[in-house]
Amino acid sequence: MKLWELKPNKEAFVSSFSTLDPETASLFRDIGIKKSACIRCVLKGFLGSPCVYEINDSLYSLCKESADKIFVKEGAFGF
Amino acid sequence: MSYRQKVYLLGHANTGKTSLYNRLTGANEKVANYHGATTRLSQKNLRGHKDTLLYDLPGTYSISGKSEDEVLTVETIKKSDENSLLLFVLDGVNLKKNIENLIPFLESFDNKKQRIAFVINMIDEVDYNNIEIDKLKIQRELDIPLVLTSAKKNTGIKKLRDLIVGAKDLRPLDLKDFSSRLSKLENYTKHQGLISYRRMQSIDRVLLSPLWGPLFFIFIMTVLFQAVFSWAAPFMDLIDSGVSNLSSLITPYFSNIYVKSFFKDALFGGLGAFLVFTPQIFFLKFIISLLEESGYLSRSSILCHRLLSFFGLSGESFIPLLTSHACAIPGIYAAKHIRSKKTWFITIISLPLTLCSARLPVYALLIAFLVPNTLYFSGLVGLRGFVLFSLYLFGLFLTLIVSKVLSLALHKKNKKALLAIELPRYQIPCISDVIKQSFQTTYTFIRDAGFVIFSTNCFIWALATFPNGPGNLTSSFLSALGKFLKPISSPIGLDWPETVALLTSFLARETFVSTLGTLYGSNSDSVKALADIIREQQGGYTLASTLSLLTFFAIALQCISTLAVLRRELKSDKIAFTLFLSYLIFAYIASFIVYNLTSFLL
Repeated sequence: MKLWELKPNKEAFVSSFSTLDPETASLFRDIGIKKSACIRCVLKGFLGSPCVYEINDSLYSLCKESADKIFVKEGAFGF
Repeated sequence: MSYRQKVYLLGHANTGKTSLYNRLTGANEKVANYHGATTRLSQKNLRGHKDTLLYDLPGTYSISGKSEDEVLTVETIKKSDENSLLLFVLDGVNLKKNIENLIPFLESFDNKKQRIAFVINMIDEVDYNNIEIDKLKIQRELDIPLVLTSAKKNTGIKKLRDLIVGAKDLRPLDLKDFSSRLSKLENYTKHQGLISYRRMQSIDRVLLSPLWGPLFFIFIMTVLFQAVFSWAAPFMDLIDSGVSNLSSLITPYFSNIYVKSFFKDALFGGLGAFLVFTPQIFFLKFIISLLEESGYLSRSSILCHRLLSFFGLSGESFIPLLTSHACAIPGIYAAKHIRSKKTWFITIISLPLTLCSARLPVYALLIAFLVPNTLYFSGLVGLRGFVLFSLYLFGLFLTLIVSKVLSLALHKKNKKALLAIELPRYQIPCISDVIKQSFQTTYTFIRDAGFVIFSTNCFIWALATFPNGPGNLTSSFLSALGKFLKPISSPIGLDWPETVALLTSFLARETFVSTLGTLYGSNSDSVKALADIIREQQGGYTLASTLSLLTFFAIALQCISTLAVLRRELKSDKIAFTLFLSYLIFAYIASFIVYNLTSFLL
């Protein structure tokens, strides 16, 4: 599933950012997300506004265009 | 001067490098609680040690960072020599991520040797979150000096200063080898869940919620603009009466009519007319700094992203746009952290249209002609404040329109800019730092604009006084110049004094009011007094000419400093000149339409 489709308080796992297109992969590297990560959706945005996700003990905000490019596996990973 | 030692403060974004730099050097560089607040390289001597030079570098997330500020950091480190000290500043609450990002950064410097020391900052938050950091173990394993600090609480600064002073005895380390030892560091901290993050998520659930988020945002923006106009009023009155009293105290002592006229019109009438606006600038900066330090500004970027992306901007453009309401120049610098080059270009081209503090004196004068000074809620909210707020919205509307036009021209497929930002932890702003920064901004405004305004006023006073002496304005050189230019200015409803004032405002917008103060010989610094004199001598401005002037000032790029900074950032004389000319023509045509349409309808 796409990261954007993740519901609030649900967790997911992204194994690799290498499958992303270069622009998005570079965007994630630039904000410090380099490795595989457990992601939790904290907040859904207002009318398609960026969502807030918890990744590696930090909160990030991703817009729909970014989050749509990341494919995740939903599950419980013990946040 | 040759420095015995150079010290580079570097690390992940938003770890408090600039706060430490300010503590160590006594500088007053801008501090803010969001990622990418520092975009320029600052350098200053270590306090009390003239031979030690400190560099404050923009924060980096990675060696491959594409934003201009990150490239600057990497390039600066590459050029540093073996004797320099690299002082890595780490966020104690998030050591693991800081270290993870530092390792590839160090690995990229093949065989480069440097002296290294670590600073674990924000130790107050480490304690708050019950995090245990094994300092001795870290020092022993890595064999480098380590200091725990809290720049906010001024803790550990003396130890850090001692470390820097004694750093010449440190052994340079191979950066690549050091990175492998560093990977163990994340295991030296223990915590039972971060209180800061739990608190942050609870607050975000309210401030970013679909209902309360936009409402709170509107409330904060309303408070900001009301503070600028209504809350600053008593302080403005204080300055006004102070300068007026000083003028009436000093000028009677001069018997020579030229000296008397110079002090009354050029010095007190002209220069004082812009000093009176300094409380508004102070309040604007004060509230923006509070928002910056609290961590709310990044949340505002999220709330605005969708709207801004429709106009070709992104959430990353929000902070530059808001900052430019104080002055366009820091807004242009704040745009450096925008990753997309196209979004950066559109942002800096369009942000001079936001209502900056230099426009405030002009708008205040023109509003005095249009709107009665009615106050509501015990004087907390004023009608003129609402009109000013609508002018802020008009400036924002123009900015968005220009952005949209540019985005359609530049983005062939109208591709939207991506947004991915890290949200800073909320914190209670340090009021003394906020006040210090607000005073610094106000002082910079007085220093930079004051020289231009004083010089212009002297020149205008000379043109208004000669050849027939003070009091003969209609037969002066200035009158001749104004009348010569009248064919250009009369189609937008301006008389000759306003034409001259408009001409001088191309040096800096705020000179418009001070020039009118000199021309009309205003004794007082208040806009109300100047408006009364204009009404008395000329019958005031008509609605059509007032609206025409408001339109002209909203659009024209009348600020040499902004133009110079734009030229430097764009690295192009041609684009800067085209921009100046385009906004000027756009302003003239819009004013012409507004003046003639209003005259026709009334």
